[in-house]
Order: sequence, then C-alpha cells, then structure tokens
Amino acid sequence: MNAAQGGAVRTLRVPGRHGYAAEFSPYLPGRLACAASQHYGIAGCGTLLILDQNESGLRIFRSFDWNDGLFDVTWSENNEHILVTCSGDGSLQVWDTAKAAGPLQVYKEHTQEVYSVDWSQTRGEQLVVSGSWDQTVKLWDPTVGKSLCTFRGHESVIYSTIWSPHIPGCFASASGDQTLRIWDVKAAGVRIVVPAHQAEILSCDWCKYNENLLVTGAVDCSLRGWDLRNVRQPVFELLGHTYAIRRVKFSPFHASVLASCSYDFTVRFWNFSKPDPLLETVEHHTEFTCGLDLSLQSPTQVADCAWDETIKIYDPVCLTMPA
Amino acid sequence: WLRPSHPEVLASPPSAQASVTLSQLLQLVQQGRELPGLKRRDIAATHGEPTASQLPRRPKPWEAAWATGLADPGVRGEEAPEGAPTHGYGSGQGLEA
Repeated sequence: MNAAQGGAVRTLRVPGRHGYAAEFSPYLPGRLACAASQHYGIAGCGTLLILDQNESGLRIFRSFDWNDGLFDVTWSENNEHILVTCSGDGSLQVWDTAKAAGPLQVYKEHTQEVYSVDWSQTRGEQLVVSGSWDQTVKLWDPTVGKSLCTFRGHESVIYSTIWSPHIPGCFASASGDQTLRIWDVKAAGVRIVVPAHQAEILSCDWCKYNENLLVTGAVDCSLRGWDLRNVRQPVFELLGHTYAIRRVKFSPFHASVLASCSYDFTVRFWNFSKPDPLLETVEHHTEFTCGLDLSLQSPTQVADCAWDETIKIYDPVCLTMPA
Repeated sequence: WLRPSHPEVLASPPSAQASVTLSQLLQLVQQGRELPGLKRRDIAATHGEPTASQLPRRPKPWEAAWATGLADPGVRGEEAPEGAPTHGYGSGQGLEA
C-alpha cells in the first residue's frame, strides 16, 4: 500500500462519464463513491458509481443513472448504505447501495444546478446542506421531503458548502461572488462574510485540528487560509496551480497538510506550516481534475477523478515517505 | 437544458483519451448539432425504505485523536492540534519525522 514500495495507482476508466466528485465511505475501507456526468456535465445524464478496491484494482459495485448530470456526492454519517447526490436539474437524490434500483427519494427545490452537497460531520446531527447556482443554500433532514431552511445572501452562484467538523450547526460556503461565508443554522443566518479572493471561489474546507481555520481555492489559482478570529488577511497563501482550483481538502490526519485539484489537470499536496509548502505535484490526469478525497481509514490514501473519464486511488509519495 | 460553461472550460486543450473532447462537444453545442450518445433518462424515486444500518459509526481520525489525547509526531508548530492519531490507522505517519 506504499507507493514508494511499488504500490500501484489503481485506475478505473468509465467511458463516456466525466468525474465531478469522489468521496470515500466513512464506514467501509476502500469503498468510494463517484458522482459523474455525461458530456462534461453540459448535456445528458449523470451516473453515481460505487467502487470497491481489491488487490487487482478498482471494480464497480453499483452504478446508478440519473436524468441529469451529477455534480457532488456525500455519504450518510448514520447509515453505511445511504448517499446523497446533487444534480444539474436542481434536485437532490437519496441512494441506497444495498438496492439495485434507485434513487429512494428525490428532493427538488433549487431552481438551478446544485453544485455541492454535504452531510454533517458533528455527532448528534444528521443534516445535509446543498449549494446551488440559484445563489441559495438549503438545509435538509434527509428523512424529510422538504428543506428545513433556505439561506440567502450570496450574490452569485454557490460552488461549495461544507459543514464544520467541530462546531455543531455551522457550515461554510464558497461562491462566485468572491466571498467565503460562515453560517449558523441555529441563528438561521450568516455569521461571517470573508471577501477571500478577487476571483470566483470554487471550493472551501475546514481544518480538522483547528476549529477556526479554513482554506479557500479560487479561479485566481491560489489557496488561502483563513482564521475566523481575524479574517482581514489570510494566514497563508499557497501558489503553484496554473489554472483555477476546483477542489481543496484538509487532511483528516495532519493539521497542516492539504490537497487541491485543478483545471491545470494536477493534484497538489501542501504543508502550509513549511517554508516550502508544496510537497508534491501529481500529474496523472489528462483533463480537468474535479474530484478529490483523502481516506479516513488510511493516512496515505487519496482518490481523485477527472474529465479524462478516469477515477484513481493512490498513495502519493509525500504522504508515505518521511520528508 | 444546456448549461452555460465556466470560462475555464473554453480554455481546455483537446484530450487524446476522452470519447468526445470538450472542444469538440462545445463546437457541436454551438452549431446546434446532435450530441453523440446523448442519454435521455426518465428516472423517478422508488420511495423505498432505506436498508437498515448494521455498522456503528466510526470515529473520525480527529475525534479518535482528541479522545485519546495522544500527540501526533508528524504535527508540530503553532497550529499543532490538541492531539492527533498515532495508532489504529496503519503506517505512514510522520511527514516531518
């Protein structure tokens, strides 16, 4: 399982499907969900792929089609069979991997593309947030057919919505309006507005070991770290990508390590606490790389997916070798 | 049902591997021509009951770390967490070891 010891990249090619998001199961080691779309998400159907990895590579455990492109996926945190996806037609879908047919439920309230969906990470809450090009965020109890709340304020499309791993009822959103916003479900409103970039912000994530720290990734090719106690200027800036940054995620295992994927086809690994923060650049895709996740079970394992019709699981050298 | 493409999309170089390259596809769309292999589905919710969960929730790596109060040898400096995992998730720790 160690790349430096010869562990191979496991690749699955899915002809005619362009990957948008990849997420490891929080329950089953080696199980991965991938939200994909036909024709780059511009036209046609979407497909949710459930993959298992074995010694020889990656195999498809289930494949579910939806009427329109699928742009994001999130696993349930209280049932290993359940996932939620979001779609270009404004709907959310609830899927059950133990059933061959699906979805179980479809919730359509957004009026435009839904680009992000996330299941709450704090204990005792089972809520989903969705972010849409209709400029709203909606809060859902997945067992209820109607949204619980709609959050307004963003002045452009929303690309990313992510729950805090530490603060119950708190989530972040990133938007084409160039702001990062922090929301409080109990107050039903925005807590902090951060003018984080002078460009569209496509992604954001929370540090897993510092409840005040977030990162944003933007069309200006930069990643910026934000301490919520003082958001006047970023606490770090990471430069290296050569096109827009599509997704960024903090490591589940290391406080200062994060990964980003980009329209420059690369996945980059960073340690913002180092003078030379770029740890590694992975160049194994031949198209926009949109989906990225770091395993919750293995500190070294990473999954990504791209518009070159491939999904890959691998162990980057920087996570397997002491620096 | 065609959605506006992101500005970066238009800068895409052609890919040798993809079935229809992005630039080819955008050309077809702009010309109003039929897209190859376009899948039109009419899928609806089954309204079935979710399969019952049989597995307990696994603690997240950061929750396990906080619970055990152990320090991660790979994390140092100002942003060091209150604790980080050192066991139970295999080898590969120690970015700065």
